[in-house]
Amino acid sequence: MKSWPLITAVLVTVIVLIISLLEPAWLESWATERNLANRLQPPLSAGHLLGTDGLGRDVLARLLLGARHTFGIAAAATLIAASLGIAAGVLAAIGPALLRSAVGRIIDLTIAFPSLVLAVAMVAALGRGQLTLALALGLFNWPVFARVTAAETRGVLAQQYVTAARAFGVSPWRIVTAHVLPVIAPTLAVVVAFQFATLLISTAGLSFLGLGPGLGVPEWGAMLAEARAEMNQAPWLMLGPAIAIAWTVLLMNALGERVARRSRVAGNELL
Amino acid sequence: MNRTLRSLGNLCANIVLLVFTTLTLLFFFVRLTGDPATILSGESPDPAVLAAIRENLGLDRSIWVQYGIFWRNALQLDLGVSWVSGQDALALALERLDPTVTLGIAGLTLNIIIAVPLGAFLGATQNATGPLRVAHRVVNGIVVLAQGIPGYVVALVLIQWLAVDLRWFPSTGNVGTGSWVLPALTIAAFLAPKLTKVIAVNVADALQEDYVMIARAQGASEPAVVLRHALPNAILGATALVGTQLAGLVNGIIITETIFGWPGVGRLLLDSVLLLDFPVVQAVVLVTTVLVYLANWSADRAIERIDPRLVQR
Repeated sequence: MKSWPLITAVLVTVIVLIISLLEPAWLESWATERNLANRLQPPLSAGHLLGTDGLGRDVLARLLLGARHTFGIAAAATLIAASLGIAAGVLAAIGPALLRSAVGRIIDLTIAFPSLVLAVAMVAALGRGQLTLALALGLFNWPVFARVTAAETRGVLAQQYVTAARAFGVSPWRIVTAHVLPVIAPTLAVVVAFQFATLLISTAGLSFLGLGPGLGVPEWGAMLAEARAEMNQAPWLMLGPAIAIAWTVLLMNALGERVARRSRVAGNELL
Repeated sequence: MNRTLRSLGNLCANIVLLVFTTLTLLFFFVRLTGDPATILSGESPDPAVLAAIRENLGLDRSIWVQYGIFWRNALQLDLGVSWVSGQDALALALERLDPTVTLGIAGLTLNIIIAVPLGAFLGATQNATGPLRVAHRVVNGIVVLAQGIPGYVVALVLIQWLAVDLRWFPSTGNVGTGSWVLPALTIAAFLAPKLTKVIAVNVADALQEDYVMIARAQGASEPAVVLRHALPNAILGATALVGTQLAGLVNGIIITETIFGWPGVGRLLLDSVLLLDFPVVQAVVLVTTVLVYLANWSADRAIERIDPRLVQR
């Protein structure tokens, strides 16, 4: 399979992200400019490729500006979940016997935790905000990483070269960093890609329900909620944020699958 | 017999651990918000009222005493009363459980009805030629696309199309049979793409197995090979997905219930969160966590019965 469509898609997304992160003045003024006489314009109308929202703001500009919020929250959540999960997974595989069974038990117990329920409760307690949302989503989604890391690490530990390294007196820490993590890195990369996609859907979902960064922030889920309010008059308004979310999720899934195929990771285990 | 006993003991130990962790987590979550008395007293706190509320709730004592009181009450199944309506929080959560469980079962069933035939088709036609190949590509494209579209977007489209434009179903509430369709479809939209993919992969794998070759050699027709030999094994393999599907189901239900105004625990949770009604939040989280764990445990035991190869250790 030729990879240029994927590379193009990644490039486009990265450029959008860079623009969004730099937040140039033109984008800021373009996205916040209100023109009530020009509200709820359909897509492809003059000067507004994706139309305008209920306050007459350009939808495309707001999507561009909002990219860093949605991406940022999902990325931070993934980072938190991955760090916690990988650490726990390694402990569950090579820690002292007692710790091993304790961590293993916690993973078994929390693997089917209704993570969104706890995230919602945590957002309620800490107050709405981007950091809270990232923290709430990250803290309750680590078991997936832990389970995969533990299983993969155990597999590597059974290899002869690890036994040899042990016989030479290599420390457990060094075995993990030099022999285990590099070997399981492709698998973890696949999990990161798939989990990022899942967490992005959760981020936008909670934001859609009103638990996001707050009023006025052009986060994609929040934009979807705004679109819902205007749905009777302007059903096309949800198209922009919906496509933006779907684009990102599909891209991450495609990247994950590509890594999986390249390094022959059994994708079935990771779902 | 011995194994059943040990398994039940394990279940009890895990539930105790689960309840303990969840409640402790929730207790400290609520204290993170700062002083609940300021939330309870409303817009303009009168110092005398504040002090009275603190004394009433025991908030003037040390956090560990409060934690002790919290547990003493929790062990008597008393998680406090709703700060909004004054009803018993746990009773309120249990009352709203019924619509959620039925909606969950409806969504899960619909999910299976959609995913199994689609998955079987995709798996069976993986190496097909001619028109079947085209059909395979089209269906596969739809499934891949569906994986990227979040359930809540599907819900909005369904409401706009089937409820507002065509007026086939009501868009909110739980009135009559028609109101079931859209929420159940939404939940299926959260779950079906993943299940379809797993079943497709499993069917394709099973079709390479020796027993399928023997069935073919004995003259079984291709549909019979897929339906009688490959699919049952593929579904059995997909049961490993039950845990993640359950977690996804609960996540989907919260969002779905809120969108459709469904009177279940998911909507109760969101409403209570927005009103900062913490006793109810605690009760809902506790009830859902335990319920999901029990459902997961029962599913695991059922799968072990069906496929004893999965029992290890």
